[in-house]
Amino acid sequence: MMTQNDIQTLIASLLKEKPGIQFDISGSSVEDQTVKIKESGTLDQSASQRTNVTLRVWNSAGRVGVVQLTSLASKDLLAAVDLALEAAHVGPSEDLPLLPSLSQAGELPVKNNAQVVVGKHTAESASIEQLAEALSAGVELLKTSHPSIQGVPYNALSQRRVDRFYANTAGLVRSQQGGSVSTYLYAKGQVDGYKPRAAGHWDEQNSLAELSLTEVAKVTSKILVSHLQPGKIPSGKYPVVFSGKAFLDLLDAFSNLFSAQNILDKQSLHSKDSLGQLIASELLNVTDDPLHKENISPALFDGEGTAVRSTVLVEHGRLKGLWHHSVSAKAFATQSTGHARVGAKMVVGPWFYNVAPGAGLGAIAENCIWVEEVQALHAGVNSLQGSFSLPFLGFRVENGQRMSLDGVTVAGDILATLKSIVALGEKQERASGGVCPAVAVASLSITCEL
Amino acid sequence: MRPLLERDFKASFSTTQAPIEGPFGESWRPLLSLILGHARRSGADFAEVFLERRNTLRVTTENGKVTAVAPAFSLGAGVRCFKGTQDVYVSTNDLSREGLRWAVDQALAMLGLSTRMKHSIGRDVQLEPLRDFASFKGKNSWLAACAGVTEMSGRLLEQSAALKKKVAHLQSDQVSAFRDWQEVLVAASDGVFARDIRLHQLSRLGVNCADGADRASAHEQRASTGQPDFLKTVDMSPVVSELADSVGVMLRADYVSAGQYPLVMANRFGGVIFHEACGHLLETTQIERKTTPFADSLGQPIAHESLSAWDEGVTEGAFGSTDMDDEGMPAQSTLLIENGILRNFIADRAGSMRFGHPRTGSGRRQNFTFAAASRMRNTFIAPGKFTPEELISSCESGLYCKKMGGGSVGATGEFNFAVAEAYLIEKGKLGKPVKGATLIGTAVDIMKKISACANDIELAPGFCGSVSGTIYTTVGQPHLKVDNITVGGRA
Repeated sequence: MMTQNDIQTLIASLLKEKPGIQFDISGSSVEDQTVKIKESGTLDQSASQRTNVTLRVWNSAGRVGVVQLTSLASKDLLAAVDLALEAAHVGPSEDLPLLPSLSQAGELPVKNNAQVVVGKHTAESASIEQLAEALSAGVELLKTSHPSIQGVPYNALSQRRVDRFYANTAGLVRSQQGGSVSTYLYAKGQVDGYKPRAAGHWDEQNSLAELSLTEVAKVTSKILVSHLQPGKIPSGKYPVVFSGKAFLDLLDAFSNLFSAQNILDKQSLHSKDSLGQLIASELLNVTDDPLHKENISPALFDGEGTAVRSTVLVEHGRLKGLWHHSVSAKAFATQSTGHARVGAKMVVGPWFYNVAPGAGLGAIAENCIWVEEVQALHAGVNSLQGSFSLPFLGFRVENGQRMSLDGVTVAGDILATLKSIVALGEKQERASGGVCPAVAVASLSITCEL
Repeated sequence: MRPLLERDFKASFSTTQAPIEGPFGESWRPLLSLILGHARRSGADFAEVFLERRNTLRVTTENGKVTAVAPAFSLGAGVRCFKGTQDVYVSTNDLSREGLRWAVDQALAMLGLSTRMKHSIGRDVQLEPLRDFASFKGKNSWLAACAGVTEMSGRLLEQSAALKKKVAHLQSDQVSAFRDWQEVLVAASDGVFARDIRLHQLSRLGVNCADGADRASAHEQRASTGQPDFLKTVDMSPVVSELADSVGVMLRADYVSAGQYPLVMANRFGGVIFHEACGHLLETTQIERKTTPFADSLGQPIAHESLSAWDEGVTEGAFGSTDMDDEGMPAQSTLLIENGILRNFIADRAGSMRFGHPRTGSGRRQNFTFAAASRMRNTFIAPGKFTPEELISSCESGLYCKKMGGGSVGATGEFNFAVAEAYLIEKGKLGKPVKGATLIGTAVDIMKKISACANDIELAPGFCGSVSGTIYTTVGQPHLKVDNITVGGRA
């Protein structure tokens, strides 16, 4: 791991060669190991160690050049400084970021120092043999859990250690160590007279000891088996309930709704005037909660070194907040929320959605289309138009009886969908990007392949 | 050459340098021979080292201003070792000899092979004479010949100004270009020793229009491989006009009604349907996962007899072309389907080793962090005998998909595609524009419903994300007719 001393030494050595320049440097060193089981039963193993560095250099006119590289070697960084200065000359001349100071970046949400260990990964890292053994057991359990399950074509168990750092010539130095172990199992099955179906499940924990492959296998099997004998329904408008995971995926596909940068770029369905306006049903409350207990490996600071913090996005249906970095915050006369992603262009993005639970789904859960998982978001979402048309895994629920559906899509407009939320479940579901209850929407278009 | 003991390897290793500076090439032969020999002596049946150096530049303008200039460079290596048909892959961006030694020892350990066999005997790997596609084809000067950041920015600002002038109800525009220069060196224990330089460049225009509650967005791109002056010379003015027309029409389009439609799909990016619905299922990677219905269909009909299809890496300047694949094999043209009969799979080394299908020069990867896998290059449906107008007039009513969005295919062969620009066909003629269409179906069914191909094949550049990352590809087809397909839309 890069210690604060290492980082300060790095800064000093660059300043020695390039006295007087202003820059910041951020990045990560990643070590990961992944195992997969092929259908033939052979083991697919991989490992990597890599470093990703982003260097921002300010020239004398206050313009910034950004260079990304994969090395922390002094000679490479010196070359990058020259390249960044060249880029700064041609790059943006307005809305320029300033070199963050400690007072602007805020204290990290951990006492005493800026170098913390998040999670227990390092202390409890597993060997590749242990990873392989655990995955093999999970895959085998899944394969034998039901006679109709034909295989687990997509599966993986990964262990990852990430050291993140940020430092600048104004004296702000931050580092953080984290890591996690994650798995997914995606199985395929078929019943005579029906098409093959596939379904999967995912989990992530701090260590292999805390991750239950048995549970992931059981859940995957249960989901898949419930979809092996699907039926058809007429295309039409139906009340729809999204599972927590499905709703989070949909919301995240339209994340420009909460991006101050997107509003400034006119690449949003919202404008500055939308703040405070009713954009959703009054039942909806959404917070970006980076340090939520279910966020397994949270970032403590963003790409500008700014401490992350909880941000209320939607309160009783009204747009209350946006994600900000330092430049968008200035344009909105507010403070950065610690959501900066620094790259070619500084943008913002979510850390961990927390959609508050409601009073329960009530009667709608007994007669609806239940969308368990939305698929192909990259193809079926037009985030600038606000429209979506997505295949999904789900059920027709009629008088409480579930029938799996095959070849179905759900379509609508995101702003209309948010406004037509009629109920939220009482219990939140954990997904990779946040926590969210089931969300019921009055009516959406459903197409079913005949 | 006398057999080598492990102690000899250690002595040689300690005095052999990793020549990180300068171009890849002959200077790497001693170290790579040693490392590959070390892997073989330790019990690996096959070993391969992939070295990669990358230099990229992306410039973006938004609404008439430069908003991002992003140079990046990277260096890395991947080591792949096989024992029988089992393989492991280890990557690092430490290209020092110690870094490479770490990678190969990790790989060997993951295969359960000891790296401390003091008395193991074997030779260093005798690498073939370097097959240097870069020098042979005059590519060493490519990077220097590319447009610089000032020239790129200038051209993008001109394009942005043209959009502002031509596109009605323009809310925002984003104009970007990138250049991706990549140098690779492949060395393997079967003697393969090959170097190449690749150059991919792309120019992209995107617009977002709004008028009251009506919204529409569209983008279009042009791209090339191996043409250093591309970003200096590409004429984007026809693309500006095309975008202006397209987004102007779609701004007022109604949502399509869900249902079953006969379909005519335009050429160029229409080829994404074949790429997703069939091409992926012909990769040997899919045989390995048992996710293709075509695994045992070689020589069997899998498509309508009117359909033939190719995957190749040789079309000059096409986005998926490559002189050699990422396993050092020269590019080929591969006939996939001939008049509906499956003729070949798309195979990499591992696919060939495990399933016996001949390698097709299709081992591809995004970068050094991925092992190569069987992947498509330029994939297209061959032209037929009809005109596009004949296909449209053959539909009493239906849907004409002029421009496709992205799509995907799942583990059961179910696919879906977004349609970016579509028109109803009414009484054999194009009718009103419609938006929000998604095409859904299964690969096995759709291939038999492509009943007619026009004579106007065109290719379009794209990106494909799969098991070995995101790679440059080309899709293509002539206009074609699908007898019947489910269209997701608004009820």
